[in-house]
Amino acid sequence: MRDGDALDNNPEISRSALEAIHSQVFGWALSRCNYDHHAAEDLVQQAYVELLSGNARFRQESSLKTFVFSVVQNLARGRYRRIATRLRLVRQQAHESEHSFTPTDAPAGGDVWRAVGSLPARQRDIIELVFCRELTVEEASAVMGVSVGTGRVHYDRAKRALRAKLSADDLL
Amino acid sequence: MNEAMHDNDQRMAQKCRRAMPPVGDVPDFDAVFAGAERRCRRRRQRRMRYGVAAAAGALVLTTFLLVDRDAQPPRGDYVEVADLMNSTQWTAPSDVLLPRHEIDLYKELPAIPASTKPAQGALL
Repeated sequence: MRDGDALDNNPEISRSALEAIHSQVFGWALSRCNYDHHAAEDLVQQAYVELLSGNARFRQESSLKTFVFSVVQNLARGRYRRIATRLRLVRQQAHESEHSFTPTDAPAGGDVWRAVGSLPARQRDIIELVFCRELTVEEASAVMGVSVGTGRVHYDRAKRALRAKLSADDLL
Repeated sequence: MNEAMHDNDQRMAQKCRRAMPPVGDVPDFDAVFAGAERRCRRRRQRRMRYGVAAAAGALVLTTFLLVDRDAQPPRGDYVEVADLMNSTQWTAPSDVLLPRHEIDLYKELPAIPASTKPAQGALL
């Protein structure tokens, strides 16, 4: 069914539906860019370009949020992670603090987030998607581009590792 | 046991949610979307330009190849010695290189005037 404000090359997506999840998409992009606001905004814009051009075609095989999250994840994996790392290195060299945010300098709840940040990448991602972005394990697996079985394995291992870390630091 | 695990997970999830770094100011959707539309338009124009350039290049290449092919000498137009020796006729192989002219040695022999009148010891 095509909405009135549906995208030309992606008739299953409406502009209003995108607007409704915009802040969540930005939050996810922010996390993919190591909390660099400019890089995250650019990443979100690039994801919208992919949707507008029809390069990423939504076929209602998942929720729109899951789909857009996976587009952001793929773009970040392909391109922006390298750029963000370069930006971070440049800023570190220039001794700039700005708004860059890393798990190691978290002000509130820093120890818990540091524990999450110390997990292997896949475990960290699935914990963030399920615990913080309110996706199911199935949806999180789709975003990460792994099978549901693999996603469950990462999720279980992540929970065990995180519980052990938090218990050791007396944070649980 | 499962219920206890579930509660534990819930508690851990809550802690993670609270500890998650703040998103801060979310950029305005309309501005981001308008920027995306601009980028999309630019990308389409760039692709169109590349397409036009590629088509022009292909046209030039095709023309060049065709012209080159035409410029090659046609087969079988070389002078064959055997043909020349077996015939009294000869045709220039190309009207570009040589003027078109056919001769027959026997037909085009000059007519020699025959005379029986002697004059000063010789035939006229």
